[in-house]
Amino acid sequence: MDLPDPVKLAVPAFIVLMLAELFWIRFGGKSRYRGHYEWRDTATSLILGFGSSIAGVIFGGALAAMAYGVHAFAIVDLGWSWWAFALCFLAEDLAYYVFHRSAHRVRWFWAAHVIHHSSQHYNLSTALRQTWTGFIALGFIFRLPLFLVFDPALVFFCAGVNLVYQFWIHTEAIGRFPKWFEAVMNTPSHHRVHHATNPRYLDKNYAGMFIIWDKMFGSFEPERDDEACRYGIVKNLGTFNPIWAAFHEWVGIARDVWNAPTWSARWNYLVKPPGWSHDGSRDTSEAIKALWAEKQAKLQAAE
Amino acid sequence: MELVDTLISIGGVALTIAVAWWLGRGRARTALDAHQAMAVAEEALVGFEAERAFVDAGGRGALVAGRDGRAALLKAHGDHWTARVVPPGTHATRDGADLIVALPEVMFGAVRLSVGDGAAQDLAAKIGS
Repeated sequence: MDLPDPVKLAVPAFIVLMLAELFWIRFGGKSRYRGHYEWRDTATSLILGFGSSIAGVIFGGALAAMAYGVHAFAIVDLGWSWWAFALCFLAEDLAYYVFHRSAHRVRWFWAAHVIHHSSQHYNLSTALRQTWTGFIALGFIFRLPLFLVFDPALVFFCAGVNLVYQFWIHTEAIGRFPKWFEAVMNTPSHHRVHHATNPRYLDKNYAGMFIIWDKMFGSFEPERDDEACRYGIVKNLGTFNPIWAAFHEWVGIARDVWNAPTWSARWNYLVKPPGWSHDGSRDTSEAIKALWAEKQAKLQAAE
Repeated sequence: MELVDTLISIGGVALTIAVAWWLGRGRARTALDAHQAMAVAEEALVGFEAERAFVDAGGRGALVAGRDGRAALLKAHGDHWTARVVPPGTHATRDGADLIVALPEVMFGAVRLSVGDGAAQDLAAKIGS
């Protein structure tokens, strides 16, 4: 079956919605949820997004070849029925969850994914701040099992829809949806938490389309009215340079591996969570959460 | 068709950046006072407890002294703040009433803080020591 590329179709809508959000933020009514734009940040995001689409063209052929190569060993052929579509959407979203969680917990994968989190803003342009090095980081391996069950064209279509879905949740212009929707779907509120660096919010809400995975696997954290999200990464870049945004973590890995005292430390700099160091001189998200919890306990005791 | 898609993308990128720039013109720049500088340092650097802040006269950066003897450098990044603990090997010089702090991290860039003649001299000596 010949399926369209959802991302290509959605590009004009991306542009219109970003412009609408810009005008809403500038001229819209007063609301707790408004959002913010800084033109240099937006420029960085959109240049990274454009570069990512070029990377997609460069590596797309290899990815498709790999997908069909795996599909040659398919264990079952589910065909093109409506329920195969529905099942594929669900399975692809679960694969995305596993990929995304790994992308935050394994530094090698994080090196490619950090680009998406490197903005201190949270608006629709942030959604387009996409990786240039996803293929090099081997992020595609999480989707490979799907090709044993589904036609690659169907999987790529579902992945495209998933990516398009995630565009509109990168906004502060929308508060919260009705409870039933927030309970099942990933929403702007849930995803704001994911992009936040507040210790309470760090490494939470990895969902793509359905928030159910986070609730099932213990990584869900609701957005609180008494704690506004602070966006970005633990060590914000302090530059709008898109090349540095795209490659800084790879440079960091190379430096650490080069300077590591043992082979075990070298390996760990690749596979341990971001912030791990052989001498304990840096903080992982667990260490940050522990320090924060300690401070909260002290404050409560003092009250 | 590929060419049309590419042109739409490039045009959309250029238009959005231009509109973002145009709508942001004339907006007041974010500025820090001492209280905010200490709060920003504590938020950005978990475990850091601020004791005193030396804030740039324009509010576009600060050097925050911590209770544990460490110092945090804040610099404006657009309308947000970026923070670093000042590590060993940091280069600090005085230029009149300005203190210029250059971390070993090259991409962070040097931060110029207009903190006054005396403070600039003291802080340059402390960081350099």
